[in-house]
Amino acid sequence: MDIFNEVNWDQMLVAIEETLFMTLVSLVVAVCIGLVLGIILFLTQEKGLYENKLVHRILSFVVNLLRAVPFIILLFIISPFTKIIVGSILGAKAALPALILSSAPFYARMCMIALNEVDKGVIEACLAMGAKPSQIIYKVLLPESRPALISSATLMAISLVAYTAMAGAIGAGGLGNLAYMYGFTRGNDVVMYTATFFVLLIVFVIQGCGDIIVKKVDKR
Amino acid sequence: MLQLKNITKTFKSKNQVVHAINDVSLTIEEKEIYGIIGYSGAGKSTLIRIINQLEKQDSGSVIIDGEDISLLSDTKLNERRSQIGMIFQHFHLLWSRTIEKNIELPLEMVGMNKQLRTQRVAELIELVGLQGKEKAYPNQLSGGQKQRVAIARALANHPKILLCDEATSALDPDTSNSILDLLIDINNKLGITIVLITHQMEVVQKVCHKMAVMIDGKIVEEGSVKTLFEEPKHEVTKRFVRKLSSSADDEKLDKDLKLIYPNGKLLRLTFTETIAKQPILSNIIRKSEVSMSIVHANLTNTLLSSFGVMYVHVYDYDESSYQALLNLFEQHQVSVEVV
Ligand SMILES: Nc1ncnc2c1ncn2[C@@H]1O[C@H](COP(=O)(O)OP(=O)(O)OP(=O)(O)O)[C@@H](O)[C@H]1O
Ligand SMILES: [Mg+2]
Repeated sequence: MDIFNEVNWDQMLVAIEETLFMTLVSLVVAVCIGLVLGIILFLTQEKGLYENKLVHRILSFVVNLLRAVPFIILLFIISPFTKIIVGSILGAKAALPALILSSAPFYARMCMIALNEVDKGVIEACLAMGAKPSQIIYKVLLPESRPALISSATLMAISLVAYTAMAGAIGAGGLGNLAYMYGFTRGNDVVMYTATFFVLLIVFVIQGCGDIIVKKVDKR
Repeated sequence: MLQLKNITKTFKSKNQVVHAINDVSLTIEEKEIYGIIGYSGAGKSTLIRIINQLEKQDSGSVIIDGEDISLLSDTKLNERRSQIGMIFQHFHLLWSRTIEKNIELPLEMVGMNKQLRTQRVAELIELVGLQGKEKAYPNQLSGGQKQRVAIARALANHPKILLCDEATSALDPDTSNSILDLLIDINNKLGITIVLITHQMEVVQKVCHKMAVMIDGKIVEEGSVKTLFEEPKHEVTKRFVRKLSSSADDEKLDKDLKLIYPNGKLLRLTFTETIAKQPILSNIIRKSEVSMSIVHANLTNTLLSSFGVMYVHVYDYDESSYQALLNLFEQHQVSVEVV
């Protein structure tokens, strides 16, 4: 297996770490922000528990706008802010603001869809019991939409892996960076394919975990 | 006591206005089982949802034990709602919770502590006969069992009123009967007022003390089940009563009898309970010159009364004796229809 001698395994390991770091941190943060925004979107929509056209329209607009901007462009647009927040526009950390900013709105939208899919009758039954809106959210909406919330998070995690690769190509580190800088530009196919292999591995593992968790929580 | 006073409710959508409830007033006494029957779209669900304010009326008031609950603040309303149980056609259980957790939910909502909750859940499981199913999930239960869970959940906070929106419509006849028995049992044991809406006369017949007939957002007839079964006044009430009296499919029976008795006339006689106990038929047969034979009879028993439907075949008559026979029936308050 001499060809793998061309691979600098320390470097590869660091790249894997960076990719996982970027994916997981942005996933967790985006899920938290997305959940909150999604719940607000859900509550303020027409016929919602706290119908509020203005809030809903503004939030909807922002969410749609951020989702419409291609990730690679977003990365450039917000680089001045990134520099202020993170102190640099290079490295794994520097990719986080853009990753979060592009995925949180996506999750907010998915969250709203998931919550809307909860049986209206169940919500009504709980209102009839005298449930407060906060109880409806914690005890009914979130548990009842868990499978959809988890599979959307899985979906988002996978697209985050792809985004980290994109961010990597312009200097954020990780497997994408390795594949591009050392693999593609220097014509080192082995490095490129090995990096790709690890990207795929991460994606498959995420998908597998997501599927298993969904299956476990879905008692329908 | 539960009172609805001059309730109206109109739904407006872009291209139409639906007067779902049109000046409805009702009084439902404590411990009564009150049935509201009507065809689809009559406004039954809307009305029952107004009782616990899931739907707000446009005008009128909902008075429970002297308090107009439509004027309450949200917090107060939530408190009152926990005292009004509700069950639905499609159960509306949380699939993500086990049976015991589903029943526990309303107790969590009112902030009861864990120990008391566990105790109450065990009582309720027993009340509805679901021992052994505590840890199961709703999707592992049959429709009847799911409705039992829903009933247990609705009764969790010791409500004084139980609202049932087509609670047995999604169940087969046997299961439906067992659920209705459970409702009667609950009413007897716990003295809970039950308001149920349905489109099935069987349900009203079996469980209700009083009933109202609803058409196009209006109550057209109201009274004890006995009275309405004996002397239905409104056309729709009559239709409901008749449908029940020969639930073995009216039309088919008519057709079959006609095939067997092609000559003469077939008359459908409807007896009310009071006259069903008198020797009317023998009186009439003695006085009439018309030959007749009984070809089909069916007595229906409701919770508090009974009444009958009978088919007679008349033949060998002339017009005047036939008219005399019809008069005799009328004198004896037997309603007659020619099949
Ligand atoms: N939220 C709503 N928006 C608009 N129209 C409504 C709404 N809810 C009910 N309606 C209308 O009000 C009328 C009464 O509806 P309701 O559900 O009370 O009837 P129902 O007697 O319960 O019928 P079913 O037996 O089919 O359940 C119907 O014409 C219905 O279309
Ligand atoms: Mg209905």
